[in-house]
Amino acid sequence: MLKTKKLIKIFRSDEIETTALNNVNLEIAEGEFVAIMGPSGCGKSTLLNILGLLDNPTSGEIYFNDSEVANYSERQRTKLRKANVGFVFQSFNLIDELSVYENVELPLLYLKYSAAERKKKVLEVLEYMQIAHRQKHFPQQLSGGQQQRVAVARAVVTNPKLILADEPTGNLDSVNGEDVMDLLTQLNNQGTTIVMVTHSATDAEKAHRIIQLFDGHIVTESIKRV
Amino acid sequence: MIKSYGICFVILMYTDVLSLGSLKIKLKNKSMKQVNLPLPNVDESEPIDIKVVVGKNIINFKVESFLWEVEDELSEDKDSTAVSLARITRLKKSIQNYDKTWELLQIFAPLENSGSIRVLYRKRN
Ligand SMILES: Nc1ncnc2c1ncn2[C@@H]1O[C@H](COP(=O)(O)OP(=O)(O)OP(=O)(O)O)[C@@H](O)[C@H]1O
Ligand SMILES: [Mg+2]
Repeated sequence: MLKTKKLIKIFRSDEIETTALNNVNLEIAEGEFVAIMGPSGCGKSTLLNILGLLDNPTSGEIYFNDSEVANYSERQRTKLRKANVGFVFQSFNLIDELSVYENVELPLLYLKYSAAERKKKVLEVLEYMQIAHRQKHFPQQLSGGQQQRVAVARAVVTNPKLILADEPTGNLDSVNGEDVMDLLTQLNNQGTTIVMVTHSATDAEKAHRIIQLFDGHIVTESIKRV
Repeated sequence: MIKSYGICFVILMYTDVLSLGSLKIKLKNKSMKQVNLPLPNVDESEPIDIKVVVGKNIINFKVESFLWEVEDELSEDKDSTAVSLARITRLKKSIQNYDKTWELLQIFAPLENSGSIRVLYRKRN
């Protein structure tokens, strides 16, 4: 489903040059659940952003369902992303001007669901994430954990083929974190491909494969004994 | 959940199933998944053995310490890229050569200026 070849990402500012990704070769099959681990600053979010077509690599190739996307126009990328990818951002990226309900409804609007369908889906997913009672609130009025649950709701509401989740349990207590991991595991059991960044070895256990990233390099990959 | 419509209360019954398109997600029972242990002051190069006993099950964990210092390898070329590369190569080798009856779970962030790096393993059964 996803493949990268010799991915390199260099951030350049006036004085500093940071190599965030160095020669990353990666292949993720449809239906896989992959965890990416590694210390802070090793390039996990950078990799996820590039896999989700939100950022361009400095060099290297990315294949999405066998088509090389490096040369796609911005519009083509956006279309591909909205139709296929659910993203949980590390910093949530909720839209401050929209209510919780509207934030979760937004991806459904892009995909042209009817008003009735939207309402049903949004309420159901907010209920599951136990945040329905806050649906009229705005993101700034929520705690970090609550915002994270809204971000997860927004990522899954369209039932995307691929979910890219950047520390989806990072701000949650163990009970809420487990709900999110449970949701991701069940989505994966029913066919959704998942790539998750995590600092938690416990959460990584749910994945089929764990990729250890270090200073922009893949240091090792382990396949889970099933 | 109780919704109020004027003076009449409607009680909506929610099942614990979420449907996303054709997918069905069920709420599950939960159990304790992890324990954090405070450690006494330990030598950074000393491996730490942890034995977890739950009823008749025994799970062995080990926190290994791999050498992280690369000064000896790098003669002249000591810029940060060369150091980082040498360290990664060394770490990769340590992991590759490690006893395969142990499964790698996590690489911990190295402490600043530390000569070693910590890696968590669990004994395969
Ligand atoms: N927009 C940017 N401009 C300049 N440098 C950046 C930018 N984004 C990331 N970096 C740098 O690239 C490196 C990798 O960053 P990244 O956010 O991918 O790390 P991470 O593994 O996700 O860390 P964390 O676990 O703390 O979230 C870091 O050194 C960071 O400072
Ligand atoms: Mg990050």
